[in-house]
Amino acid sequence: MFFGVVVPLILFFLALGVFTYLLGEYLGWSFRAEIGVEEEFPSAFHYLEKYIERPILKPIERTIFRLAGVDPDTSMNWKTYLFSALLLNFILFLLLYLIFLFQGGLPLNPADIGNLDWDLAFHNAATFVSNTNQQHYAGEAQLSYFSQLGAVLLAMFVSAATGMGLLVGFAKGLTNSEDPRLGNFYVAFVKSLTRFLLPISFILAIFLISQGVPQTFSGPATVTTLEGATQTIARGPVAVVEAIKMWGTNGGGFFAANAAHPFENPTPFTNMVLNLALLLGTISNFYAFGIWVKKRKHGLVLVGAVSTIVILLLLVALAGELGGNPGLDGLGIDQSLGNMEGKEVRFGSMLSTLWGVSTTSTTSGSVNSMHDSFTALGGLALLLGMSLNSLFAGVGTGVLNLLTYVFLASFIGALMIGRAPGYLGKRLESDEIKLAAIIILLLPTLVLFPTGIAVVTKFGKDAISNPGFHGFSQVIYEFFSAAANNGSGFEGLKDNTVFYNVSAGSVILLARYIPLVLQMMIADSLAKKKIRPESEGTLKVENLPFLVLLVVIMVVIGGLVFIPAISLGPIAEFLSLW
Amino acid sequence: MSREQVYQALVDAIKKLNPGYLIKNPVIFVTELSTVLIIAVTIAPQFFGGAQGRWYYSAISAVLVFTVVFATFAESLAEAQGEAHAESLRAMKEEVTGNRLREDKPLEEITEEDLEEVSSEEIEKGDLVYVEEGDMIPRDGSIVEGSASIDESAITGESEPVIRQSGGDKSSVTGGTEVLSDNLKIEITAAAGESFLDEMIGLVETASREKTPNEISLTLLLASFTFIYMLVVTTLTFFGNYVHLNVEVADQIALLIGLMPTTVGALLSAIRIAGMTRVTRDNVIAKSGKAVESAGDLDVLILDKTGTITTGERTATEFIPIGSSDNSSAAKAAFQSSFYDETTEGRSIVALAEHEGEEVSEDKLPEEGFTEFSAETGMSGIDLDDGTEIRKGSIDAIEEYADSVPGELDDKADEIADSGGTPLGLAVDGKVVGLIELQDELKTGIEERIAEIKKMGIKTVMCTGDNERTARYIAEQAGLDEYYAEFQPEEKIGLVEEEKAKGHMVGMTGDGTNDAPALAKADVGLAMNAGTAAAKEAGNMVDMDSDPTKLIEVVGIGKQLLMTRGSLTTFSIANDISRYFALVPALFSASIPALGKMNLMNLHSLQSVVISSLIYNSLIIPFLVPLAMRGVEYKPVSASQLLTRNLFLYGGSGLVVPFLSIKLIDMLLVAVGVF
Repeated sequence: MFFGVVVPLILFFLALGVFTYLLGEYLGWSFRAEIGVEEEFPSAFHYLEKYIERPILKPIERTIFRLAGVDPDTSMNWKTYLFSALLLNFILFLLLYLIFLFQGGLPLNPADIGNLDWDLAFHNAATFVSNTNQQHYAGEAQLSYFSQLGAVLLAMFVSAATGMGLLVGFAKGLTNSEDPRLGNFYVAFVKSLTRFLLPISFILAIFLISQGVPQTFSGPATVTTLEGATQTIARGPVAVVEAIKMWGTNGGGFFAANAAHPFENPTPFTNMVLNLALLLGTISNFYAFGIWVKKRKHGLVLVGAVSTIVILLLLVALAGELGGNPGLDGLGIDQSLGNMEGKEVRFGSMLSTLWGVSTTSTTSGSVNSMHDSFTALGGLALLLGMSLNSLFAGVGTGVLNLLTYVFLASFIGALMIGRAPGYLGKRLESDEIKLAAIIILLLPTLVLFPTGIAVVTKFGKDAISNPGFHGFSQVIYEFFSAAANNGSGFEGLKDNTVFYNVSAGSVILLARYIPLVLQMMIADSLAKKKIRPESEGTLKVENLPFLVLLVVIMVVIGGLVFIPAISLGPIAEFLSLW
Repeated sequence: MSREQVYQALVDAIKKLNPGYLIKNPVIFVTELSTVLIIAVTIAPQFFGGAQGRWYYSAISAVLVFTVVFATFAESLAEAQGEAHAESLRAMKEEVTGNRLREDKPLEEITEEDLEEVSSEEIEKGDLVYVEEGDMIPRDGSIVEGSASIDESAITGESEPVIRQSGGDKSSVTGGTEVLSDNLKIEITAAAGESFLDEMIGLVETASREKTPNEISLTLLLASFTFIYMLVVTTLTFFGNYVHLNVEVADQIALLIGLMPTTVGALLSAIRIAGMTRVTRDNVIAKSGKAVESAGDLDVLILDKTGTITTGERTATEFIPIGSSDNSSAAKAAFQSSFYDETTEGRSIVALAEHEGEEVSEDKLPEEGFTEFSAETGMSGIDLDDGTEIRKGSIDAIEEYADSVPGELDDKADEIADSGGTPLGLAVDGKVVGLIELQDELKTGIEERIAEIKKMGIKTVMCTGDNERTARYIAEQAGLDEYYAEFQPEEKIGLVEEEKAKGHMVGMTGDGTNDAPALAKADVGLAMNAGTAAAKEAGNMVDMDSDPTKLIEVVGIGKQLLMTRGSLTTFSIANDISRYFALVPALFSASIPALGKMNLMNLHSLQSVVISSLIYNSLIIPFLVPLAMRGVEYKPVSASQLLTRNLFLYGGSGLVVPFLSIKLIDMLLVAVGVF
């Protein structure tokens, strides 16, 4: 227990801390010009500026801007900024939809895979364009290489860069004083790619290839097994997809088995690295946000608040998964390794649980074990992660999502100390609170309402593979995964039906884009306000009391509202079994 | 509060049940709708699939009716309290008559024939009235001619009479106050029903109707929570259908009421009204609720030195001989020059000299030889019968007057200025003999008040017409952050604008017409009632006591208003945690026995849990009314300490209290045999 669980976990979190610092500083530094940060960066960054930024990055970025006809010096107001992002996403959505619909006739299809049905193509386009990556299909069997690279891979980069681009604009708005200009979306978008997403994915991909992950355009390999039987082994350009899948909090696997598949995630070592990557892609944003708003400690408080909840969920999940399944107790099965159903032997229950909680605490949604087979407590922790809108959520959007709770905490906190509500010197008035209130009620609406419809209609119920409380978990998990833009599958639900493709696809789009619009409206409204200087009497957002307040608000307003619903799923199941 | 007032409040509470009125408070509105629904269930349970006893539904209905009435009662009780204060003011308005001038005439020429006696209601804005000793001033106005001493105790509670005179900053008079001596010609500046008394009464009424800006935000937030909880509860019907769980309408309503922030929803109006009433009780008229809220948020206070930091009365503290003269000759010169000087300074000089043993018989000091202070010469003094000229005045004036200026004069004068004093020079027959040190005393307790304000994170800025040295000394003594010396009132507007441009919320006091633009520009402009009509018009608050330090108290009241709101919201939200543990298992365990294990509180039964939870919900409202009306205690400590304290106090109790109360009520209900 100690060497198998505690030591690796401590090492993991230490590594997470170190990389959060390094990548957070790096990300903060990367966009210092866009947001106008004059903060100090680690001295080693001078070399980065001298040998990487000036000779390599800037010329590349300038060339891209010239080719794309973008004038990097034009600053946009929120409407243009948001419209640019939405337009880009809309075009991508159409492109994806058409590729999936006609992939059979398109090149790079050595396995001769057919077209997707309209509903699956819709769900697929929706899910990839929104960084959700909920998969109602098996990648190796239903997507051609062209779809994997031309559609999925492209969307994985664009969706993450869209989130980052909007975050940069938001941060700019927060630091503006009575100035509605949020910068240039295309500049932030391109720089997200050239500085953050592409280089780090590249390093990850090289690492994966070195660990034996395939990167080839050849079709499936046909081999003769030791018994003399013939086996077809699916392969393809896995490494590149895997890298951005993890780094961009995407989560859509090349294979249906996702990161449980040995070609995606061959060893415990790759597992640890990928697990770190899936968290760091978004945690580093929180740290960088602190730099951008000129309060590194505030960034740390945000990381700390969310980490507190994630660690609690991890403990709950570990209690479940390491404890094993009581149903098997009398059957003479050795459960000393914990609940191993649906888990890979090379990872074991600890690494699978760590991954499971990591993936539902972000919008990654990639899996290295089958969540459907988790114990009730484990499943509960996964659901709770998503019920908090996936906590760290996704690249860029993670900070934006959390900010809604931060606004509420600032609002109530400021009142509690007798001050008019504000955040980082910006007043929070009824306009901003109104928008934040709508964002808050969106997640429960988009989860509970469709789940309610699904469990009382034939289309909804037919897909459930395991009726009762567990079946209810399957359905509510599907919509949690969609509405939190998480994308992980509980599996078990036969979700490739018109009903689930259309409902989940629509939920995904609404859950992604409505908050983005509202958040940019908040950005605009805050950008136009004065920044009030801080004093002794101002609510501090960089200390422990605020962290506690934020955690309480997130748990009570965000998490607990789902208790009645979740009681009918995993909690009922847990209490029935134990 | 009298029995009738409570009775009246109860009647108002019932009137407020009108859904058209309640819709402004979404949480309580939904509670009312739920009540109507549960009453329908009681009447016809079969339509709602109600399978439990009618008595159970009746009990829920009854508790819910009480919940809604408690909510409206909290509001009307606060209103009644405010009204009671307004009522006592209104009493003063009655039965005042005034002498209206038929035509404008100089004051001394006015005779009985020029006057017509009319009731105060008949007097119109712009009319001229005449008042003399013993008269009540019929309505607010501005003195056109004359000066008089006036008893304003009816309005301010201050028994010391005040002097009001035409021109300048002390020309305005308030209706309902009494003239103690002399006579005045007054131009009425307020129309009937628009006097300050009316305004004060009006404020109580406005405050009870209009929400303040961040109350609106909070209401929006609570509305969105309410929407979420409604969704959570209604979708249970669908979910229950799948997992074979039957949650009745009545129980769903119980869950909804338990989850909704009814406590803070019920108390929001009471908090606001009580906050406004606290302001009026302090004899301050706030022209809007927003102004009171802003007061809590001020982070820069611009304070006048004189009257706010210091008493404004300069008194002599020391005589300093210059050149060959000794202490007693300086004291003597000071005494003689000031003997007929009726100003505070003059009297204090005489007092100090007498204290030092100076006495001169009056006949040696001819009154006709006295020269009053004039701005031209900057001096006052006396010419004795033997032709000796004694003069006292500002250093510049004395230097000009004197035949020769001793070198030590400037040094000693600077020393006095450095210690915050004002030096006056003394000369006898053109020869400088000494200096008088005048000190403007700090108001008692002002250092502590300033220290408190600084702890709140508020910057204090002092403005004074005094020279740099005096200003610095006073600022240091009082512990102020910044000061502006040799400052003209006209410059205040610039200062306010500058601070506002930096993003600060600025509060200031003022009484003169030249303060008016700055008062209007400031976030909180507290005008003095004794000041000019223009100043009172411009400010968004008026202090009836004309005490500039009141600004500090108003800041405290504003903060209390916001804190009470925040703390009760936190309490209300924290309450939810217990509901999930009490209600959810109870509601589900009938159909899903396994969920009974979540019943950590070991409550008796589903019905007892529902009733206990609802009773708690309803009783907590009247229980917290006193807190809402009194306001959360405010301590001047740093923001972080305050947050920790209130989070612990109100969040912590919000977590624990319902667990204990629900368990207790449950046990009680079982003990008395209800279950």
